[in-house]
Formats: sequence, structure tokens, C-alpha cells
Amino acid sequence: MFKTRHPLSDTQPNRRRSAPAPAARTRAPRRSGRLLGLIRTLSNHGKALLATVREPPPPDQLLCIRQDFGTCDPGAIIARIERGLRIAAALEYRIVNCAAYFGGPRTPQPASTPAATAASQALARHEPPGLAKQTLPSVTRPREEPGVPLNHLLDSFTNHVNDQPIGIVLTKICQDLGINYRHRLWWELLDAIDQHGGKYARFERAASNRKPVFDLFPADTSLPLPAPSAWQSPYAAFTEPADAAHTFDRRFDDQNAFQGTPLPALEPSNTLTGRPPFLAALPCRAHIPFMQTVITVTLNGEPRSLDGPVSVSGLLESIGFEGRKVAVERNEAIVPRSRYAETWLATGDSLEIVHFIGGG
Amino acid sequence: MDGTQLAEDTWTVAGRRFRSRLIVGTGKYKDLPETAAAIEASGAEIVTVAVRRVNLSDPKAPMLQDHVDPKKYTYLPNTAGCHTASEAVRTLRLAREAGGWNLVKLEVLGPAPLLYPDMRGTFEAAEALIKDGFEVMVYCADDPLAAKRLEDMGCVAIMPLGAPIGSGLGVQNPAMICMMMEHISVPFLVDAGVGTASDAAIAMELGCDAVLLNSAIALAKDPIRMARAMKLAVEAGRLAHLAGRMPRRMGADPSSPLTGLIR
Repeated sequence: MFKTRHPLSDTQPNRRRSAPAPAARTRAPRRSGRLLGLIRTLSNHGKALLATVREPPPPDQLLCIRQDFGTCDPGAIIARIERGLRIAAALEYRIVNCAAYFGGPRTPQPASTPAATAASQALARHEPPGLAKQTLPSVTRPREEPGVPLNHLLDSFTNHVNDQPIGIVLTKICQDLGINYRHRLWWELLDAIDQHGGKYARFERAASNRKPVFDLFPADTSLPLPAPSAWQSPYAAFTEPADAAHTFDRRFDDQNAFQGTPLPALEPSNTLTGRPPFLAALPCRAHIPFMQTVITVTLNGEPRSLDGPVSVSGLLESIGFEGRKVAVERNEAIVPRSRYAETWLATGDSLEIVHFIGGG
Repeated sequence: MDGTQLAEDTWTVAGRRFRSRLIVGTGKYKDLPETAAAIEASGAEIVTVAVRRVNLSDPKAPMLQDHVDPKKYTYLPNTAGCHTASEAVRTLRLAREAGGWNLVKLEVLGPAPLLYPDMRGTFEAAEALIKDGFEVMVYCADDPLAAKRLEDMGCVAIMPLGAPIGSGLGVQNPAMICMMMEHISVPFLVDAGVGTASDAAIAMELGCDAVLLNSAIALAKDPIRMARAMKLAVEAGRLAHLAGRMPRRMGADPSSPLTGLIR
């Protein structure tokens, strides 16, 4: 009778009434707030990683990052991190939207009608499920706090990010961000992947089975091997301080389903198309690209490959605008004329070069 | 009135003093030499310019600066084509970087075909720009309250439209222009809608400090001659305003004395 569960129903009347599992009853329903917090932490980690890769880190750290990503090409690393961030943003957006959907004002409980009373009595007598079926929702359904939905509600609403269950999507994010067993969120992630229909084994295999990259390095032996401590904690330089670990936003936590607090707004443009604005907001200090030969940038809306490393002044020279009255914008931030020479371009940069023309 | 007195009739915007009360746009001309010639003939000291992407395929193409010397004319970068506050602010920041000055013309436009000023976006952009140190000459609706608020925010000139941009319909709202002017102490310009010389003269007669126009010259059959006409019209309108108009009366009042008639 209840072979297929309605996606909106968070109860399973058949099973629960016949054998109420005490453990499941006493535990608070597990909300997806932890998942949301996890994704946000992952995003932050990815952004920090991106900033670090763009501004070349010390050699030992660089070695670790290369090891995690299995490549020496910073362009490839950056592209993978950006892809991971994009998927993470999409997933976060879905979850927040889903939460907003369920987080409307709480509907008042209907007054106890005779039918409802009968149903509750029927419930108490453990009558066959068919009888109480119609009236069940108004009686027994513990309407949860408005806010973040339960896990399976979430899954039924958002399992189509890239046509895959959340667990798989999470796996992809982790792979793109180079997460492996050394990361402090490792166990948390395994747990979440497991819960949301992902393949734990696949994730672990993918994460731990990367080839060592020593053979990818140039024959330059002057590059020092990293100290063992660096191998233990390759992200030490850019993870949050230890006391911040695992302190997710309390509003999203299990026991504190937030009550009426509006969810942070996420612009759709943040997520699925175009260049996410948060990438533009990253602290990109003047950096010198390393080992980067071909750079692909978007120049006045058109993709263009440049021989790198190249700075803004080099670009202007190569396209014939050096010394002209133009203004340059890189990733929506103006590059002052005085800094053309020291502003290096990286793959994925979006550049606008403008000048004055006739206009009224 | 002689030339010396005319030369002293100047107006000041954001601390810059100008003799010519005509601001002209540089768009829609056939080519850059014609633009330069028309601007020369108009006697304008301020020209509006747009900010656009460079032509990557032809870097050696002549640029506006090669014909219209930025040292001779004050460039007034505009935000034509911007429909949101953020676009406008971004554009003018780029303009400041390209040109190096902060006197700008802000216009945030609604959708075609009216391109009517979007006042909500205009307020947002003006606030951001003024905070950022720009001196904003603002294109706005013929709305006295909006104009007053823009002035209070710190805009250096208020420029309502006489008619939609490029329509050439002339000053369609003289009464409203007069009423707006009552409350505004910063320079007050009619920005859009002028179609021919008499329209510019009307705007000046109403008491505007200056007139801003583009299409009326650029789309004329002979733009250079029209530019000269505009120059004269603006001067004529200004003089008429200073001279003071005679009162209107509903009826005739003979100009010749009625005494000494032959009977």
C-alpha cells in the first residue's frame, strides 16, 4: 500500500506504527543543516585554496598541492577548483531554495475535529493503517520547525544537481577541491556522502589512489623535498584556526533549526552561469604565475589564448594598445595604469579594455 | 549688448568656469572629422563621450582623442546604454581611469523605446558615485522632487529631459522645467529632446544655465551649419532670458502712438 512514499511525507506510517523504533523517536530528526554547513566550509576551503594557488605558495606547500591534484599545471588546478566551487555553489543554492520552500510560516494546527479525534484513537489502538490513512497528516504529523528540511525531503527536491544524487555531487566537489584523507573534514564528508546516496568507496578510492607526482617534476633536484610536517598538514597555512574547526553556523545545526531567521540570499547568478562574483572578490594580490605557458582569458567578451606568463602591459602591447588612452578592468576590478606591469594574468581572468568613443 | 559683456556671462559647474552654454555630444556623426568640425562650429567647451570596448581587430583605428583634443575640450563621460546602477558606476569608474577626471554625466535609462530616466537606478548610482568622489551631472526625469533630492545628495548639475533622447521633439515640458528650476541652486540644464535651434533658444529663455544636445546637430543635413545655428540660438536665448521678456497680454497694444493721427 505504501510502496512508494510521497516525497513530501516525512513519516512512514506503516512501519512506524507497527514497530515504533525507540531510538529513532528519541533522536531529533536529522536536519540537513549540517550538510549546508559542510558545503559552505568546503566552499571556503576551495576559495582559500584558489587564492593560495594563484599567489604561488612556498615550494613545499606547492608540492603538496600538486600531489593532491596530481598535476603540475596551475591552470588545470585552478580550473578544477573553480569547477568544484561552481558545483558547490549550485548545490548550496538548491539546498537554500529547498529550505525557503519549506520555511514558510507555520500553518496553524487545525482544531481537533471529530474525525481527527477518531483517527487519533484509531492510532492509539494500532488499527490497520488503511483506516487512518486519510486523516493521518493532520493528527500525527509533527510539523517540524520551519527552516532547513529533513534529509530525505532535501534529497527528493535536490537530487538533480547534474542529474545525480547529492552524495555523488559531493564526491565531485571533493575531488575537484583535492580533498583527501588528510583533510580535517574527511570523516564528516564520508558520513555525508554515505547519507546522501553517494558511493563512499568510490570517493575514497578516487581520493587516495592518486599517482605520486614525483615523475611529473622537472629534473631540477634543487627543489627541496617538503618537511614531513608539511606532508602531515598541507593546508595548515590556509585552513581556519583550530578552534573554528567544526563550528558550523549554529542556525543550520541539527538541534537549532533556525526559527524564522531568513536564509541568506543567494543570487541565481552566483551559481550556475557565468563567472561567480565571489571569484572576483577573492583577494588576488599581484602574483607571478609559475610554469604557466598558455593562458586562456576572456578579453572583451571573447575567449583568447595568450602566451604566458603575461602581464597587463604585455597584453596591451601584444594587441597594439600600449600607450593609448584606454582603461583596463580585470575580473571587474580596475587595474590602475601604474600597475599594468605587475598585474599578471591567469587562466580564467575576465578582461575588459575600454576607451572613449563618440556618444551623446 | 556688446561682446565684452557677453564674454563675462559665464557659468560654473563643479568649480570649472565655462563661457559656452552649449554642451554637445559626439555620437551619430558620419565620421570623426565631421565630429570635430561640428564641435568647432558649435563653440562648445564641454563634449560628452561614451565608454565602450576597444576594437581589438583594428588597434590603429583613429580614436576620438585624435580629432577632439581632450586638452581643448572638457570630456564629459556618460553612461549611455546603462540600465542599472551597477553598470553605470562600473562604466564611470572605467572612464575615470581612462580619462583621469571625475566630472561625469550619469544617466540610468529605462527600456526602449522611451529610454526614460530610471530614477531609482539613478539615485542608487548617484549615491555610490558621490561617495566615490565623482562630480555627477545627472540626467533625470522632469520631476521636481527627484531633482531636489539629487541636488541634496550632492549632484553638481541637474539635467532633466525636454523630450525623450534623440526624439527631437523640442522642449515639451516648459512649465515643469520652470517649476523645477525654482528649487534648484546648482546648474540646471535641459539634456535631451532639442530638435532644432528654436528649441535650444526656448530652453535658454526659460532660464536654463546651459543646453546639452547631440542628435539635433549630428542628424541635421548639414551638421556644421546646424552647429553654428545652435551656438547662435543658445546665445540668443540666453540674452533674451537676461533681457527679460515683456509681459503677455490678452489683446492688442499698438506700438505706434495714437496721437497725431491724420484725420
